[in-house]
Amino acid sequence: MQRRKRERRTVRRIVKVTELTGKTGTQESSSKLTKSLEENIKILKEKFSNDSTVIFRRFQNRFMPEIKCCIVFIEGMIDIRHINMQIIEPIMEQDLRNLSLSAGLLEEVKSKVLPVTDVEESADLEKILQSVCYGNTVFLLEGYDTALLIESKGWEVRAVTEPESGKVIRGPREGFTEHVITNISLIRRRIKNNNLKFKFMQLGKQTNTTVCITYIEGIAMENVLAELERRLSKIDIDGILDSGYIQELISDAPLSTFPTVGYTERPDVVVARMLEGRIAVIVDGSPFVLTVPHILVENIQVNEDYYDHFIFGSFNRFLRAVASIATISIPAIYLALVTYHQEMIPTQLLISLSASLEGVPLPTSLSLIIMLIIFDILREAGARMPTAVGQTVNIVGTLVLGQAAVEAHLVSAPVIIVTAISGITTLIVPTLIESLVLLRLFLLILASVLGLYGYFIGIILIYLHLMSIRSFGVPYMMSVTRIKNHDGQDAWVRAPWWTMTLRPKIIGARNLVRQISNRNRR
Amino acid sequence: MRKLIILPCLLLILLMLTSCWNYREVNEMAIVIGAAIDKGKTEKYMLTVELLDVSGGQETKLSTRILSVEGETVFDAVRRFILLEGKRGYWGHIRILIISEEIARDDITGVLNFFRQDAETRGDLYVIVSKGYSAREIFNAGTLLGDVLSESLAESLENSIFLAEIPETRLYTISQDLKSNKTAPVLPAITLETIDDNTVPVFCGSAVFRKNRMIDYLDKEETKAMLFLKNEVKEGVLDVKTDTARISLEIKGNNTKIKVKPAGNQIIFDITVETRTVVDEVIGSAEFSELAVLNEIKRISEVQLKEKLWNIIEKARQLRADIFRFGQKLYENDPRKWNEIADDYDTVFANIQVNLNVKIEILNTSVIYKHLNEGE
Repeated sequence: MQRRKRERRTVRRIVKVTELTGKTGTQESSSKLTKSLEENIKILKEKFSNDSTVIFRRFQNRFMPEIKCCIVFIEGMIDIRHINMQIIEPIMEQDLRNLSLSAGLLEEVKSKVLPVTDVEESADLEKILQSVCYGNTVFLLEGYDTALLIESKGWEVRAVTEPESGKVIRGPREGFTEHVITNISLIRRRIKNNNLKFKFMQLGKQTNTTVCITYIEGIAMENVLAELERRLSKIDIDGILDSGYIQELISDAPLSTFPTVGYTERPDVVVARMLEGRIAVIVDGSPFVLTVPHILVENIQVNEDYYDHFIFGSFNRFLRAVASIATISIPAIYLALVTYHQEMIPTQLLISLSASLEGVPLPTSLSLIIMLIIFDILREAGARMPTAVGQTVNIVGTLVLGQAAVEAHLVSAPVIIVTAISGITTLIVPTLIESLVLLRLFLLILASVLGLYGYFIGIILIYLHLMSIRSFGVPYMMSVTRIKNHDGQDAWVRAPWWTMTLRPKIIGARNLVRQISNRNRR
Repeated sequence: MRKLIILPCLLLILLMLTSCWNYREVNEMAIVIGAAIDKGKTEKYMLTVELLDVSGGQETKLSTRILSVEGETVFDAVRRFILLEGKRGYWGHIRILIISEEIARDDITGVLNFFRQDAETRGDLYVIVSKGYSAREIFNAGTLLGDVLSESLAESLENSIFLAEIPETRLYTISQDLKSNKTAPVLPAITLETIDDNTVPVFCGSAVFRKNRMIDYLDKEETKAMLFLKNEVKEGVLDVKTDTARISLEIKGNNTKIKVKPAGNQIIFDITVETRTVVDEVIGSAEFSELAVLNEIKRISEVQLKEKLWNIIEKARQLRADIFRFGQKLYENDPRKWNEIADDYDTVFANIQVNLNVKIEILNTSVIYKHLNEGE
């Protein structure tokens, strides 16, 4: 305790010191542009010292050599053709003699010479520097202490492809990319409506990552939006490399293994959630878009449920729900029955269990825990390794760990079966894997100490925990426990579309009516 | 901070509340599938158990072993197994318990108490009395029936509802009968018979108890009659002899209604037995396709069943054992009257008046062809 306090104090001191030095640093160098072009270039060169990717290109007009200018940009961030054709060529080649050389020259260049869509005039050095970093081109003109910031972004972007996760048989195959503007366009193309709003902000003190909040005005809850903005504005981190950073930083229950912020790689899923009143957060550099509020049932809702026949969709969803409960329960219940409650096993089964356990040195509890951990190791190895080595892991997993282990009497066959069933059922709900893997071990340990009693203690604790957490004010277990009125329509089952006339309560409370029943109109 | 202290405490309490710690691997237990109890030579009881002997590997081989050990009490003997077997017996899957006639005639409660009170043994255990042989001999004889003797005996008891010749008595029924003091318990009896040079255990009727002592046996026919009166017949065969033929009626259902009519000191039981049957097998000549003949068969079978029922009632009266649960019926209908006579029920039972009414309905003839006559 004492030590932790001391650590905290030293951290505070370090923060103070850096703040002080930061201030003195900015005071030393000039933060303003001057009227001299050479002076300005010098200032910028000083700012971008030791960075040879920053290009300074001086040029003049053919007809009026007194118009001296310079553009500054970063190699690799810009579209070279765009700069050649739209910036350098007009100023170099055009006859600018009819332009007045008086004070309004910069304005005239901006409005009459440069054929580009996005130009902004700025005198703020900080802004200019940032603009260069984003891939814009800075246009400096002799005799002016302001600069033009010309849009010229252009870099390699991954094409829109089908995402690896959440594959569908029926449904759109587009997936988000790492580029925020592409992602926005994927959403915009699905909601052609001026109620679709985007709010941009920059997060990460070093990385200056673009973060975009998207929602449908009139459906999304305003207080959730305000809360989301408040939480985002509180983020004070140096870098954001993936939306996972933000997910963890704005999560309601960060210590819980259950996700309280949703994520998906599919635009149709994001749009469906936005139509229910949720708010999406797009982070530049991440193909995973966050959505809030996020409740438990969203993990078992798959976009294909809504595209398939509703009975088949409901069946699949029910399987997912049962499988995710089974995956944490099967090892624990098996262990409890075999080691504590043998009277609950039918005699014939007990006989075959007894036969398969004959000569196995490890206790059932230990062998189950070991096998489950080995399964998780295989899963993790399979997810990370290059595809070429995939065969090896498969062979090692199936032959060595499965068959050979049983034949050598290291583990019993039922343990392998239980591990396999439990392992496969984990994978059925991908967003809950991290949670289920841990809870499975938790229940298994409880069951190995206390039998079924321990298993039920564990289930009760998990249930209490789930009931206690909220996501942006929305109860996490919403519509899991109630089926009255419209509550259960989209939880354990997927009701037919013509009956789902209301949006989910609380999340879509602001504008509850999704449709006026289609049935009667037909 | 306080939460952080309270939470582990609560968890600890939850963990401590569990009453028994019995982590036990399946392969470390000797699974007891059946038990037999005799009088011991040196000590009070001799317990014989049938243990499942499982050998693992690619194919599961199942065999059993019979072990005997003596002890002053049943539990004493149970625990002494460790000396013989090395493993502790596991009683959670026991199917049958055979009690020798000797012990049954002496006192059955001493034996039953262990099985009733122990946490591991189960209430749906079948209790059987060995007739003429010691219980241990029954176990040692019968390896013919199947891999596991106890299992096959329990199965034949389970399926005995299709026969209606053996009372299917589980541990909880007999303990209830013993506790209530209103009914004389009846247990299935088993004996050894030589069939094709093999000595195998065979069920032979039932054993009648008065309170905790066995007093007599009933043969198969008597047992069936008793089951009719107890309303425990579901299916079975009713044998009818006419002048010219022998006919088997298949019982499709039976309903026995007992009404109690107290009349002063006398207690009158109105018993109606309604049996639905079909003609299944005919030996000899009987034109059962004619309605008149069918009615005649019906009349004769009613008379014959009635006679059998009277016989068993008479026998029960002589034994002064209420094997029909009449006392229970009386208690249900008129508890005050029961309380008056409860102390002296044995003698009251010997003098009860019974009005017997038998109705047999022949639904159809489940015979496809006419029978083959000798001359044809």
